[in-house]
Amino acid sequence: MIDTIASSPSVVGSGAWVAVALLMGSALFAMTMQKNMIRLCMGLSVLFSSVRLALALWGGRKGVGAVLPTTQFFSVILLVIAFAATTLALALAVMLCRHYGTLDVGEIRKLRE
Amino acid sequence: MNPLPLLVVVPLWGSFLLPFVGPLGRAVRNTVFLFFSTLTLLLVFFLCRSVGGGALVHVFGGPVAASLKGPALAVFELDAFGAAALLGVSLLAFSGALFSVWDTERFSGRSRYMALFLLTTAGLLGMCAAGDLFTFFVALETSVVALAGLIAFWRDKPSSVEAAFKFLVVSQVAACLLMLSIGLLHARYGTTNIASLAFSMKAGTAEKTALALLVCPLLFFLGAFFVPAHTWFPEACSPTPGGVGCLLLAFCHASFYALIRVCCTLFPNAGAGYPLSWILIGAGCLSMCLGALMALDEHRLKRLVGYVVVSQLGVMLLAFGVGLWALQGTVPDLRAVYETAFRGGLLQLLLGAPSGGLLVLCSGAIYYATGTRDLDRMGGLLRHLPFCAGTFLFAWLVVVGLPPLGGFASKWMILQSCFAVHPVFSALGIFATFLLMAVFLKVFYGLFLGPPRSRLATVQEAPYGMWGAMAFLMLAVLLLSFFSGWVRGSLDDALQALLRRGAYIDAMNRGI
Repeated sequence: MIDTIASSPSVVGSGAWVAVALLMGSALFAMTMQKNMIRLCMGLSVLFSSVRLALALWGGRKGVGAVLPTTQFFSVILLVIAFAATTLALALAVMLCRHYGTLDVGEIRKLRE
Repeated sequence: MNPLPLLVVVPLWGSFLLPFVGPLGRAVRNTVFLFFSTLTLLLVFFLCRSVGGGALVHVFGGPVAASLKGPALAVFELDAFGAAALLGVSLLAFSGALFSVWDTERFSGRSRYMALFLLTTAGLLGMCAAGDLFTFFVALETSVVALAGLIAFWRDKPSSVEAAFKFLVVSQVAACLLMLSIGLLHARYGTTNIASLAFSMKAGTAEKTALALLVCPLLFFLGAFFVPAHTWFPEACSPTPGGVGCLLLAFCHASFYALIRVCCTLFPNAGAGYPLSWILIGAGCLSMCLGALMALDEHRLKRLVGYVVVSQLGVMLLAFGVGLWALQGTVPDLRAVYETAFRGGLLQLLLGAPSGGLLVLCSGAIYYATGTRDLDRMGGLLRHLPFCAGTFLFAWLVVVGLPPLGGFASKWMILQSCFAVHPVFSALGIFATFLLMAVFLKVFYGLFLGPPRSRLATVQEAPYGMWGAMAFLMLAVLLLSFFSGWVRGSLDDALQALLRRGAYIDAMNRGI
């Protein structure tokens, strides 16, 4: 029989979910509206952080006072993956800057044409 | 001992060894690379035979994991449907590896390339064998990050670096959506094990949200026309070596497998009460038609091949969308349609890998020989590249679906089942096929016929190793087309595995 976490009330209220929504919204804003590649990478990093916060909130249980071990495990793995992806994205951004002399995605598109 | 974990262990060992073996010389490096690639392929053949009509399960952690409360966390489960997807992925990975040995001879950093290649292969095989969503996510991320590195292999070409950056950033956004879905399901049911989730799944708002968060990124990963990230596959395929193009196609196939597993096993009532089947049908039709239309307008060879591959992936998506729709339908006559649709989709899945891979490798061989991807700067290459012309023609016959090759059988079954749903879907399928014929005529004339170019007078055929990779895929297509008894049996097993969720869940319980 599977223990459903959803039947146990979460540790924190809806305020923390507002924080998740704000983080996610700002990350998506940065990634869609910003043209600087470094800011795109920063947006990606913030997006990963918002997902980790959401995982932690889902994994919290009232009365236990801690996040579930499996959720902690997911968060740590996601942290490592986010580190690898963001590092690689930054390295690629630096290489593109060396080629085109700019970090602006719009300028790069014009130079390519 | 269950050999299932060797699927990732063997290529991972190769990936870790290659940077140390590289300084020992070209012959040693190439031998080690091909050894691990061949071993992986043989292992996949062995596993596909072992699975038969049943399923193989492996729980990572052994007795420790079994002693923990709740369903196992890290699991591999392989049934006949997973074996079909695994076969396609491994054929592409092996042929890409064989092709890469000769394709990358002119470049430095070959050890790192081969290490990343095997790492990507391990990730892709893990995606097909994963029995829980989190293991799938880790395998997916391994593949994505390694693929981004491979796409940027030609780092002196800014287009490669740009394609890698775009692919990495957009795929990580999609991966975050996947992780949100996994977290939501874990919060609701306390597990990410696919069989356990399938057993406990109820209908509700959280489940609908999780389904949407799972399906949208998987549709993106499989290369469907998902505006605005709809052209990632042709853009990533274009400035990369041919072997990497094969891995990108394998990645699309592995994502497709995951999508169908989610729709048929995890959320079985996805057709009834949810608009999922219509989303798949719509995405399939869009990919199929727009892929062919954009290929018609394209003059860069590798991007053109990328669009053709997207069109074929759309055909597979359409087949499974129609199958899901018919499966959940209330009209009894339509229930018979789903078998035809699923069989056609499964055959297209089996054939799409080697035929798409053949097109990608052909375009890679032509670029190797001529040094250009622009169709307007090529012409009259039939005398110089007869083998490439032959394989190109062969691949296109399969893609377009001309008899007696297997592409005809799969397209016939898919269009037949589409007609039962609504004739307009069959009409769109035929329209896309005619468009692909037009694309083929344009490409074949532009490349191989027509007036020869003076700058291409000294062009020579691709090396024999590249021939070997292309011949391997041609052989795979011929075997799948003409050994109909074996193919029919395998399709039956895969179909039963897909539709019998109870068998998938029971296999997991027995394995644990």
